[in-house]
Amino acid sequence: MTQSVREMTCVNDCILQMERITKRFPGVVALSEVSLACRKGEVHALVGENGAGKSTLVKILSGAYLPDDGQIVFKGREVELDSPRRAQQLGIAIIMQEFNLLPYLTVQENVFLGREPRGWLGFIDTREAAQRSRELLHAMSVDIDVFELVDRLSVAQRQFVEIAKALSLGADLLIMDEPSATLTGHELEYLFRVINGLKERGVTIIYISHRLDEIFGIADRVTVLKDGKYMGTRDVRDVTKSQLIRMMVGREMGEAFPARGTPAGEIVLKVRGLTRKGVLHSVSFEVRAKEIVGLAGLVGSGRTELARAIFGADPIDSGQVELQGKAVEIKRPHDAVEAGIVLVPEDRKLEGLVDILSVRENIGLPNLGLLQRWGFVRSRQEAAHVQEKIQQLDIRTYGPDQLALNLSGGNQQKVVLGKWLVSAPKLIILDEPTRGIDVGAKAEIYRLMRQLAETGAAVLMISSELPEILGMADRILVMHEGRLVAEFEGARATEEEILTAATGSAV
Amino acid sequence: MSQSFEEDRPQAAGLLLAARLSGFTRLEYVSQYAVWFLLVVVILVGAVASPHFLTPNNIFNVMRQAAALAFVSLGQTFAIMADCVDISVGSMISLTQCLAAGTMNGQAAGILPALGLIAGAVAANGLANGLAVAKRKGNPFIVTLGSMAVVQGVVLLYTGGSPLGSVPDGVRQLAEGYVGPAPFPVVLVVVLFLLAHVALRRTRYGRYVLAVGGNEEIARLSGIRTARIKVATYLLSSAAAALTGIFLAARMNIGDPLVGVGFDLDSIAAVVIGGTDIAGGRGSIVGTMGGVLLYAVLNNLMNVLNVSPFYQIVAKGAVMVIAISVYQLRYSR
Amino acid sequence: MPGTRLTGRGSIRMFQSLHSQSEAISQGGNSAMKRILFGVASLILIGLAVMALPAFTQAGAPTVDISADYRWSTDEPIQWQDTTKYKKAGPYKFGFSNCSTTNAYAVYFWETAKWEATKHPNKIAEFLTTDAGDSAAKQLSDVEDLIAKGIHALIIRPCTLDAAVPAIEKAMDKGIPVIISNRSTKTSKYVTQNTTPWFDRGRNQAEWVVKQLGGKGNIVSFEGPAGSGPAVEGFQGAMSVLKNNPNIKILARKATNWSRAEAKATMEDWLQAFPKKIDGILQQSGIMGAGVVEAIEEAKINPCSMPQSGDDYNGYMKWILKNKCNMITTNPTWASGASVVAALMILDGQPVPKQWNIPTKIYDATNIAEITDLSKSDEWMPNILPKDWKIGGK
Repeated sequence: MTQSVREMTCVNDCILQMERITKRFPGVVALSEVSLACRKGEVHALVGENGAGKSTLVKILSGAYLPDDGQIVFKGREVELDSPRRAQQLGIAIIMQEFNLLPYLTVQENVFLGREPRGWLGFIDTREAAQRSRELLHAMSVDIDVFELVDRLSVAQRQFVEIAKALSLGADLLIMDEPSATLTGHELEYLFRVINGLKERGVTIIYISHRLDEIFGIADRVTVLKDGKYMGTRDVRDVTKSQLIRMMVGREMGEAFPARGTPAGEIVLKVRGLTRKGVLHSVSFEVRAKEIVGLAGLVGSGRTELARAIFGADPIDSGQVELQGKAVEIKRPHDAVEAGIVLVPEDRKLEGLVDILSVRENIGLPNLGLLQRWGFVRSRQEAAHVQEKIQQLDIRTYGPDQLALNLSGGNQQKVVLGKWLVSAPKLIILDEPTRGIDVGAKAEIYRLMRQLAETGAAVLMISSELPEILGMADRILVMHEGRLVAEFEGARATEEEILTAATGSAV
Repeated sequence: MSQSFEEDRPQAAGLLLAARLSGFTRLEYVSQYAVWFLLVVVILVGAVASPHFLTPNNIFNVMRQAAALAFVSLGQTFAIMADCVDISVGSMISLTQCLAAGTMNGQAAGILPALGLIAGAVAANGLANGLAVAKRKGNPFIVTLGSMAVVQGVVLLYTGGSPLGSVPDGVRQLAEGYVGPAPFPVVLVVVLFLLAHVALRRTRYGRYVLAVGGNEEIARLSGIRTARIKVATYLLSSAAAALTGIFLAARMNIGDPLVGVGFDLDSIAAVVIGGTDIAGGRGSIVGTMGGVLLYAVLNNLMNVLNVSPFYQIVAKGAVMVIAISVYQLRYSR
Repeated sequence: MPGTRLTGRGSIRMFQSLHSQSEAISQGGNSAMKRILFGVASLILIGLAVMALPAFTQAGAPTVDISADYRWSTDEPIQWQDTTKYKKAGPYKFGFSNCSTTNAYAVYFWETAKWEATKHPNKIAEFLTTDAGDSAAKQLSDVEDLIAKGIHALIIRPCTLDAAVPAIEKAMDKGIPVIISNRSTKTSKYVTQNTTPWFDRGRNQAEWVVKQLGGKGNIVSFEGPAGSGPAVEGFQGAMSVLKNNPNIKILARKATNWSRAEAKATMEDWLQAFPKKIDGILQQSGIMGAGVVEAIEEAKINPCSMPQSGDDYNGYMKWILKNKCNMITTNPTWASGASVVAALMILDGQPVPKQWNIPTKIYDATNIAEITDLSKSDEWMPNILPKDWKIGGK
């Protein structure tokens, strides 16, 4: 597959041509003779399973990595992107999946980090920076105080700051890696509006996403990578979703969701009147054994807070939690784990995985109580458990001692799941379980979730992907501004109903 | 159409207003209030306990005594904010004090050679530390522990183990002189702290120190030359230690190879008590001033109250633990 | 005639003037009257002369009763200090700046100071103390603090020869008399100094070692903290002997900081570095000496084959008693008490010697039993504290 992409796709108005890019890491070839060509002013989607090489490709574009082979032609000239600064200077900006924002600096300080406008005597011109940041955010119709610490912003807000930062670079090529992963509903609309606005200004956008529906909504063309190789580029009007999926995984993907399970058993979790000032207002609901309950709502509606409150990670002001009919007092996660409640958090890097430890160590971590005798870890038992989990979950790794941070997102998520499964919990809370995970891995996670429910556990699933909720949940609860506002039966609900409830419009 | 996505945070409104009013200070750092609060408490206790405590003579004494710690803590503040803690400052103080006294030997002609040697020592130590941490990815704690030992060895070799040298009268004014009614060292400390505060908030170097300490990878990806920032910070830290060394040479009129012992930990304590996060990325110069003052006033108070020296050590430790626990509560949210 | 005590010369003059007056009287007039007058005048004069006599014969000696312990040594000629300018009415505020209390000597030194202060409750209103924790820099601050508190006299045990010198001189300039205690200072701006004569001790120790070795052999030297008076002056004293004995070679020297553990570790190293080469040990203190003999014993060598000096730290003294070799020169722990008394005298205007050395004595295996106490721990040292005095009390 080494034809010159240039000839094929954009005769004269190619702003970017990457040809025969190869990148090797110890033990793996991340990219093998990959090509990519983008027309000026288009939205060019980049898709592929995790591990296909998308992140690597864009990191090369952003100057973070140097390719081992191949050439890059940008704006008509061959360039060597040997540092992030160089890429920025040339007009390439990238917004990563994990935000490149410094939490303890303010918005305007982050936007202009490294390129602060200078004023009198070489000091930083704060007023100028603040003014320009405000303008950038305003142009996106986003209202954030530019003197606020980034640490205090919500995930969605940080996303917009990142975009403003990229825009402030005056970038001609903007790379967005999973930008919509944390956005829902009209936040997503905003994003698309912003992107379209950028297009009108002549900015080219490379858009990486797993949400194929979105791609059909926003992109002009789409390039598919698989296992580090270039699979092809298509115009979005000329291709269907299943065709794309076939290119990505090499197989026809049928309906991604496993069949619904047997009817629910007795009540496992009963929550009554859970309240936390400003965050949760008297939330009450139940989850039964073998049941998957989906928790839907907009970003900021309190779903994650609810999960954390049940798990003991955050305090509550009032309310009761009953597990299998008995009231439990959960003041910290330790109590929750002891009681048999498990939380797989939203941000696995921050809260789920210790990325400098190995797979084995991560899976073993909360289970050392089981795996120890006289305080020493029984390594053979640990290894057996871990191996079982690796197989059960089909975690793609070189071995149990591989460092967790070297795994792809999907496999990392499996490790996180795996670690909690060792202890056969009664209630499993999953917060955005398939965020940033490729199609193939998603299906496996769905399968696993259903398996878990079948073993008798109660599963509470928080998700911002409506298809996912509609596909997986037996019952759907909708939250809005800290309150439970609606309940639907999973098989019969519609996206519209859920969205309507989530936005607070009366039912 | 714009829509605010801010979640329901009542206190944010007040802070936002305050932050909007001044881009200059960060009122969010409530943590630095802790140190000032403690300081006021200690001063009140002192005022009640002894009539000598609030006399101008005593106050100036305290400030002079605090000056030595103040200079080195200034450098240490930047170091810790950049996640480049510097434990070698103690031995650098000893070295520079001995170089100053030993080279000058009471003669004004010796001033320039002394400064030259000191500059050389600062450059050598700062570069060595900086390059080891930045280029070789060494752990700052370990690297500066090593340079601390090396520098201490150099001092002992240079002095033969015993105190030596002396300082000409003109230089002694650095410690004993006055600017109007105020002791010179106090004026110098205030000026330097002001400059440092401005540098931190308003210059790119200061901004980048916070960036590198906050998240080095993000800083790097933003095009910041992280290696240079780290090297510059270690040079700054060694220079601050040298200033303390010269000041102590002027004050004690001798070069004592062990004079710097304790300053390494005390400077870190003062910085942390002042509200700078030990993990780096956020901090306050003004807070460090508070930490230094707290230390000095506490020492003075305990002398005034005739507290046994052993209790003094316990008391200082207790203050540190209290102050730091307050911050940890804040920083672990 | 002022209402103060008569000095020698003053009374002579008075005598002379009265004598000439009486002569004048006797040359004129009424002989019976003259004779009575003459007799009465003579009686008065004789009485005055008798009173003035002690002052006259011991020119400059004070009249305060000084206990035998505190008596200064008279080995050297005494240089009297006139302290009339310091005289003021009590009660007084004393400041005592100690270096540290981290070894046996320092503990007894400190306690003796506190005890002596309690013996003069009417004269000493406040006895302020500071501890510099072995830091010369802190000692400087401590002294400044004491001066700021308005002390009438400063007693200081300087950590090193240079410690706090600027503050000492400042005190003297301000009219606050300074008394140096136990350890010496490099400045000469003080009123009196109650130190153990370090130079003499070093000399005695070296003389004994040289004699044991017959003037020939290799020695190692253990010293106190670098730059401190005992270490520097002690070694100078030793050198004054060694320079006349070229066949004695110093293999190695180390400052082991009055630490038993450091001295022991150093000796272990030296036994490895100089196998069978060490003939004698120049040792400044007993606490370090105790560590050294342990190292030698553990190396399965008879310590008596390496003659060692030392001082009156009980651990070492007990060892000497048991093993019947080695010697010590004492380090009197009551120098501090002498300093307190000296301060009182100075503030009373009484003259004091500039060099108020507390005499040191030599003991060896033959007479060590006189001063050692087997019932006491290693950390004990000979002192003058009363039996019921609690260490660490106020």
